[in-house]
Amino acid sequence: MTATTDEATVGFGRRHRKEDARFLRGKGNYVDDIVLPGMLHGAVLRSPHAHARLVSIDTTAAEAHPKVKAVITGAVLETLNLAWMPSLSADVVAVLATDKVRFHGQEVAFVVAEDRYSARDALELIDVEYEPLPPVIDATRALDPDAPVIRDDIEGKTDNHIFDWEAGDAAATEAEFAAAEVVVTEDILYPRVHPAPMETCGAIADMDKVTGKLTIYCNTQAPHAHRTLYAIVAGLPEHKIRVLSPDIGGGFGNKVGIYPGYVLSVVGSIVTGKPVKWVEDRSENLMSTSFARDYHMKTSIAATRDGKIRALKVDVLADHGAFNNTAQPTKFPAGFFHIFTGSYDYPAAHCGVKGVYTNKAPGGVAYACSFRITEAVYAVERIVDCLAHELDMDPAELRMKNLLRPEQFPYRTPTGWEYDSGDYPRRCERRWSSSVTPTSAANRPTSGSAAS
Amino acid sequence: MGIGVSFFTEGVGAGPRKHMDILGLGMADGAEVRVHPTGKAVVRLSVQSQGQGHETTFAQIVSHVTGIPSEDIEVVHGDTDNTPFGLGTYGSRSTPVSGGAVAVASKRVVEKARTVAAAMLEIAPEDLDFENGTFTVKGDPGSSKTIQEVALAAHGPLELPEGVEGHLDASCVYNPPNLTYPFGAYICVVDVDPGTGEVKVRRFVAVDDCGPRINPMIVEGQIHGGLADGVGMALSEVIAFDPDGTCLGGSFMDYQLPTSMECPSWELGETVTPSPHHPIGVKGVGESATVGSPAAVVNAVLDALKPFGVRHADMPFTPAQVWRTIQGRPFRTDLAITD
Repeated sequence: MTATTDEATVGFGRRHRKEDARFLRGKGNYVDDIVLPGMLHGAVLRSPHAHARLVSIDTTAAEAHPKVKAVITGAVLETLNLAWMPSLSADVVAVLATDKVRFHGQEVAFVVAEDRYSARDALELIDVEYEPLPPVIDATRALDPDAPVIRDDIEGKTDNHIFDWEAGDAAATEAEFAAAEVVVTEDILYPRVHPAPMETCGAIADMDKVTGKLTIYCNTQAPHAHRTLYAIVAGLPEHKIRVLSPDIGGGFGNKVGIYPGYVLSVVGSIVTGKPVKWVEDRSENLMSTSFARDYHMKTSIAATRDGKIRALKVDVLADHGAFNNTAQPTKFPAGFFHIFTGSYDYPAAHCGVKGVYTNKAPGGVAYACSFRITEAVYAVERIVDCLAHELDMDPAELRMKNLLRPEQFPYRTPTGWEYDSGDYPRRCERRWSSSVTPTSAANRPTSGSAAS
Repeated sequence: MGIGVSFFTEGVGAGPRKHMDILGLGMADGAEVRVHPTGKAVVRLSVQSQGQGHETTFAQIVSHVTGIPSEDIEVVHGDTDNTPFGLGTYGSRSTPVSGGAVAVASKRVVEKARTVAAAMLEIAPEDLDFENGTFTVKGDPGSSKTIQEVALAAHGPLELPEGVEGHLDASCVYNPPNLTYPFGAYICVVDVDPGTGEVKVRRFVAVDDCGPRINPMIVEGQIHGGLADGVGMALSEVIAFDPDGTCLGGSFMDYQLPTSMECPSWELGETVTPSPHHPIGVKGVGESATVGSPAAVVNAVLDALKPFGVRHADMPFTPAQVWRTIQGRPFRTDLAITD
């Protein structure tokens, strides 16, 4: 429907989405809808082991497949200096395994064939010999003295420790805890979850050897950042790279990073001289691409007996998987986690975060949250409920008693954030006074509805 | 039955350059607004929709500032050859950062248009009011020019004052001075079957404050999706591993996303507290509900389990986890059950 007057379509207000014209007709244009002349198809061979040494890879039979155009292994990438790529968090990520596999589902080889079926078929013709190693699965055991060292590719690495980071005032927090009338502590786990967008990740790389121009169609949430990173990683001039993001079927942070499949499509196109499409299947998406959370949060709250919060502290064990590839752009290794002080007014807070490697898929993305704020909010909102349980208070009343007041804004938190604006009691009064409206047909846009 | 509450404060719109560094890149975003001679416009974005409705929302931002109807505005994104540089869409940053860039660029369009309109009306620029896409001479409502008339004149033979280039195109690189801080209060009511451990979300009330809502329908859609997301994480979603490290979440048979069957009819409310530092006062909202809702659902489940003496247990509260919690047998939800 279109609005009937120009006035009705100016500014803010309920409008039908411009996008709906194509989406509702099934006329969206996603990566997998794109077909280029002469396009080939890639498929990834993945590790069946969580932790194993690569003894040998025999690609002879796969290369003999009549429809296979190229088989790329880690050894091939090493000759191009592309076996490893920089992660988004000061680490490196294997594009294809060369020495070891470090998680179930890790990329081991890449087949380029005339069609998708042949590429998948040829994966079974690759003969890989593995020497299984004991895996580190439980993050709480990752720093045990006898834990196997996952990242022996890093020179001098003798444990699975990645980083230690802290925020807030430890001494002031400890002082509050020492003087507190009530202290409640819980081990709170935010388990590993997955963004699981409806459309899985995929790319088409098209290297034009005549112009030297590389065109990448990719369902990335950050096309410009990808172009710059391709230029840095592959040493290609940035003005010769064009990244096109067509319609995307959900991202939720899963499509921020650069995955080995994208790089392999580029290598495949350079090797064959043809466009190469790679689109992962559902299991590949769930098993190998960026997960989220996996935060073990030992959370403690100090309060007075009548329910005034005095301090909060959180000690986090962060499971980052086999490579530290968390896609978050801040200078803090735990993102914005130190916003965990929440909506409440109290003098002291402290958090410490310890990152560890495990034999699991890497990631830790901004999954539908602003860089670890979901974990932070979960920790504070859970521990406040535990405090209410301990004090036998109504959890809502306990919260109201500790809310920041409107006159405190802009408010500087004990961990250094400056909240720009807020009227926290009002949102609650509105709720208690039942001013909420069920979302119904009455709230949908109608033609000619006035702008608000 | 259990009732759970969650209050949240988020910080979104990454972000100020002083806090950001992704392989040496800061997080400012560019935007370009070009107004065609007939008063239609195109806006080029550095951010990338994955279904959030950018083509609608960003057209409405340009429309809000310039008065050009949103259907007359084309939104271009998703092509590095045809859009300005910026860091993309995640962390609820599109409206706080790119929205700031588009709003400032649109304001620059209006200021250019003001000088042209002043030349057309032979009056000083400061003697013009601007509202709903029309410049009107102060104190003389009959003397006015629409933004469309001004656009044509800006491309035409009109004699322009010294220093005015003509055309109305403008751009902006927006480096946000701070994050924006949306917040909300959520309340969830669940029923727990003590025999089977099954949890049913009976009601969910969500009051969100993300500042002014550019398109309330899109905002509500974002909130609906995030609430469903929270129900999934609280009740069913987990990537678990067996002791050999085999991923046990590799299909939708094993990794259980919520469907409409698991979700109640959401009840939404709102308050509006503008961001004082954003050019049009808006805050990000894309992830508020995902951030705020898991704790509300979990708190409700644990409120229901309070008679069993339970203070805390970990999500996801699958029937098996609830049943074990009732039995006093909590287990690590991230690892396969081995006992």
